[in-house]
Amino acid sequence: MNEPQINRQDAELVRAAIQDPREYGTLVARFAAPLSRYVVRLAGLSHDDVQDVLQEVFIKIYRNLNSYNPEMPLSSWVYRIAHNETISHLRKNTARPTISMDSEEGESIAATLRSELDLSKETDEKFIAERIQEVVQSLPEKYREVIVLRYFEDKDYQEISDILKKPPGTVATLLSRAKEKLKKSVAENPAFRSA
Amino acid sequence: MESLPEKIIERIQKEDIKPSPRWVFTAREVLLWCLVALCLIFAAIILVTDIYFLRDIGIDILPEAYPAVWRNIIIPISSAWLLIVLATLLAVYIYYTRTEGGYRSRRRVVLPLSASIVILLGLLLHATGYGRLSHDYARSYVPAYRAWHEETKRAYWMHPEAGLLTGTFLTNPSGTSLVLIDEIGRQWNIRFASDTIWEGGVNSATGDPVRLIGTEDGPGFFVARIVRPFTTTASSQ
Repeated sequence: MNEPQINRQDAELVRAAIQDPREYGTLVARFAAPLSRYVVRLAGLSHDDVQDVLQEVFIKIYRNLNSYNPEMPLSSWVYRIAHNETISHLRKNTARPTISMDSEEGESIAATLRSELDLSKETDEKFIAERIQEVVQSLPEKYREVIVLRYFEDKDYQEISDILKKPPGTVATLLSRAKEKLKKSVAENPAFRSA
Repeated sequence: MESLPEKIIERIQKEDIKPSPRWVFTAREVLLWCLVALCLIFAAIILVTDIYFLRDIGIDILPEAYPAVWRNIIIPISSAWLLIVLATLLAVYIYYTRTEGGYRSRRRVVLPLSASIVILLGLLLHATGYGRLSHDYARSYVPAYRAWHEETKRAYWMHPEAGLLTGTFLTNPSGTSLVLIDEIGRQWNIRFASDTIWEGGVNSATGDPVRLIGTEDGPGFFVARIVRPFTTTASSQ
């Protein structure tokens, strides 16, 4: 993957959107689906709430187009705004998020987490996928967000650092602690013990 | 059914939303860096004023000789100054992490680096004699600073048992002794040795307050080794 080229394309996309609002539709179309999934995963909102949050996210992105720094991938910058807006929405509504994923991606995440968390090979991936959602949603926000970004959104440390505006070292520490907590929660969860 | 991009574009056009101009973000970035620089300079000034403050009240009197004075006066004062410096360093960290790429640096890197800059800048200001300027400015314009400074100095110097005494000469020197009234109104007969040092052009005839370093020689008697003016002047530095 040639990152500088991607950033140049990102910069051109942003420049075009600044010059003509209709061009902004291309940017919205590119990020609508991933951001919609991310908002759902992070906040567990209803379809209508997600649409409301996304509208605010894209309006905010539009207002801040001139602050985009092409040294950073556009997706990280867009995710950062979506993250902040979602957390802000979540705090206003104090709702406990519900992580949701379809069965196919759930099994894929379960396969990754199985090796990361040293889960028994006998444990059924589908079973892990179902249970892992409730374990992740029980984590404190600072751990939940890194788990969602790393395993559900497949972001690397640098991207997570850019999205959360935290040093990469801190992201690594948070992720390591989050995995520990996840492992502990899995071990304490009766559903996993009985599996 | 209208798609999300269409909805967004429609809203942008209907509400006539415009991207904020680039200068707004540039100005914000410049402001943050100015705040970082101002906080570093402020912390360095606090540091250099503290160094001057301590020198002015007589930090050169070895703390080993007067451990109680060191423990009860100097350490609390230095801690108070240090707290201000630490609070300013925290402000530096907060402003720095809000700059464009500031979030990439870890606290354990930013804080020691800021502290090093403050120390270096403080030493530079100290070497150029800025401490006296900032101290004089604080005495003139910072509420309660003058009173605090003088009370601290008196508290430090009103320890005849530890060889530190402050007060005002009542009579002119008559060869080898004179009378001094201390800060709580007690009279002392002060004797001088042939090698007594008179620092900073002390003139006992003017009735200016002085500080004495020496030894208590029974009730109401004090042998002075060094005589200093109470208020340090530029020429006495």
